[in-house]
Amino acid sequence: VQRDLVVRAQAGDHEAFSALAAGSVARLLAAARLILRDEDRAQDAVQEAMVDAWLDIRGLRDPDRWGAWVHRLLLRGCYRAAKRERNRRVVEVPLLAIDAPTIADGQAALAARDQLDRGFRRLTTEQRAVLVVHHYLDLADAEAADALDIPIGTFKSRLNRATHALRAALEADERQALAREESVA
Amino acid sequence: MIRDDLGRRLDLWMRETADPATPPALLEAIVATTGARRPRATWLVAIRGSRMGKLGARPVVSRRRLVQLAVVVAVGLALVAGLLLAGAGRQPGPGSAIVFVRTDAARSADSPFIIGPDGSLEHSLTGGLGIPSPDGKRLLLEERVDDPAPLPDAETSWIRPVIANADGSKPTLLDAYPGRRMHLAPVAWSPDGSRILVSSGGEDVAPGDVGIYTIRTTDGGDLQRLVRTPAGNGDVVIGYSPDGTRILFSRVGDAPAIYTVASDGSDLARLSPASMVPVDLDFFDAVSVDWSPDGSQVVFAAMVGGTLAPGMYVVQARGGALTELVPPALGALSAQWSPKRAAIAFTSGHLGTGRTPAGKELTDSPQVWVVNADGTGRTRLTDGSDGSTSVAPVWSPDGSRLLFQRKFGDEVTLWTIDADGTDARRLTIEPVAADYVGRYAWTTLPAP
Repeated sequence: VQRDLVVRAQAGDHEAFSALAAGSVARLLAAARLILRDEDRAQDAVQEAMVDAWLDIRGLRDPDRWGAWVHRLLLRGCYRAAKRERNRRVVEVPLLAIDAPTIADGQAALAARDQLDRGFRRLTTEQRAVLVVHHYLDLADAEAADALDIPIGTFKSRLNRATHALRAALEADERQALAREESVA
Repeated sequence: MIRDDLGRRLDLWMRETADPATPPALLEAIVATTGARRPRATWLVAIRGSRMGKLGARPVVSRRRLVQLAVVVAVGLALVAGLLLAGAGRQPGPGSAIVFVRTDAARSADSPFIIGPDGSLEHSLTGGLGIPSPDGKRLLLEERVDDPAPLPDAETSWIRPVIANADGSKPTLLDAYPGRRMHLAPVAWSPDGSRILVSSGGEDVAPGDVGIYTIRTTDGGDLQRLVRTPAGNGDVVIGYSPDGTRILFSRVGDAPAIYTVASDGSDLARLSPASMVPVDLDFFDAVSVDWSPDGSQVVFAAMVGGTLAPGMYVVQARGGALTELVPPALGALSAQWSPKRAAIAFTSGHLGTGRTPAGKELTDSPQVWVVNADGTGRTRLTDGSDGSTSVAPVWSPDGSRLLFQRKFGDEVTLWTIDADGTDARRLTIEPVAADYVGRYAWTTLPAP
């Protein structure tokens, strides 16, 4: 069905494209939110990606590759959104580490999620994108590399580096929490 | 614990954290924004040999290929150039690369790729390529600019040139005529880099505006018309002569012919006589006519008297008597002059009466040949003994090798071969199309 919609959209059928967009936007927006950590920027990135998809849909050689293609367009949109923010010299607020919650009984899972959230925010947009295509979009390495428009070897090394960076961020977070506990004691 | 199961924790956290809720306004905005525009037609910069030219407007007779110039952005060019140059030690032409398109089975979409001359480092070009300036420091690109007040059911955006640094950075839109409903599709730099050759044509362009123009490089202003294209025709621009004094183009449509014109629009000269019809390979525009390296002559393939058997001819750049280099009996379907010497690569064979997905049928086992510019030394480089055909050779920048396409059954692959017929190498492992393709070139890369 999706292939038929793509073929019809390539022939200029805007209704078919609208159906494609309706079926794609939720997942794209969720990924953009994870990558950009900002609702407005995430929506902008998704809208840009879908407009690009419509304008360039005739350049999509294989209609079966719609999913992979829009992932690529979304990631480009995310990078553009992040770059615009940098150009405006808006500083991302990367972490909330100072206010890390005290772990109480029953709250360990919540605290762990918060810790991951803080660690994730410490990463660069590019690092978050690599982790999102791997862990959320669940793309195979070749598909992920294609979506990021990089060779597969580069993807693997970037994924490795992003994971290391996240581990380092989490360890730093743990050290800060430990230091606070010691100072209280 | 963090180190042991971080991946699993990330999977779980992302699934829990990801919020797929979609504000209705977002989808509405997407539908409204896209509904007000048309998808862009797909065609790419046509890059020919070591020089880069671009297709001009197509006539009514081939409306499916009418010029709707795609946005061309040099995304990733610098990276790709760097990769290729890094491997230059094992390539015959340092700093050169081959650009080609893969064409889908329906021939409705093309995807551009770049590959090293040794077949290594194939890489998709998501945005296409720009045209390097004569000094190699800038790129000529193009972009569609929205019409501020589009007419109902008409084109909503118009092509304008963009000039950027050689790595694609700092693009500057040249739009001295905002809202003017004609394309200004960049075709080539003038050899001194001061002006840009632009082409206008296609759907929704007023017939009186269809033609070939130049504009000023600095701001896109000073639009000067060189050629007014008659209704029912399209002018396919081949490019400037090497000294920049003349422009070569092929008119297709109701009144097909080869022309040159002075770069100020004066002195229009028809090179092919009225009795001849220049070859128009539907799948590869502008591969059947070319400048000599010194710009004093033009070579072209054309049919005489309504036959389907084209010969190959050389003529002075301002017209005159023709010299036949290849007789119609052997046939010449393409003609590309070596950038370095007095030799011309061509495709033997004839046109048929049938059609294929790529366009006109080619008959009599087309193969790649080379002939000296004086007609001597005619040599066949591919033999087709396995039933394959080999067509549309273009030269490497140093003139030592040729790039061509080989069709065997329903698979077309790209190959290179020495100009003496030795050392044939298959360039693309995966076929690029099921029938003949166009738009490939062996080009010098801008410095990274």
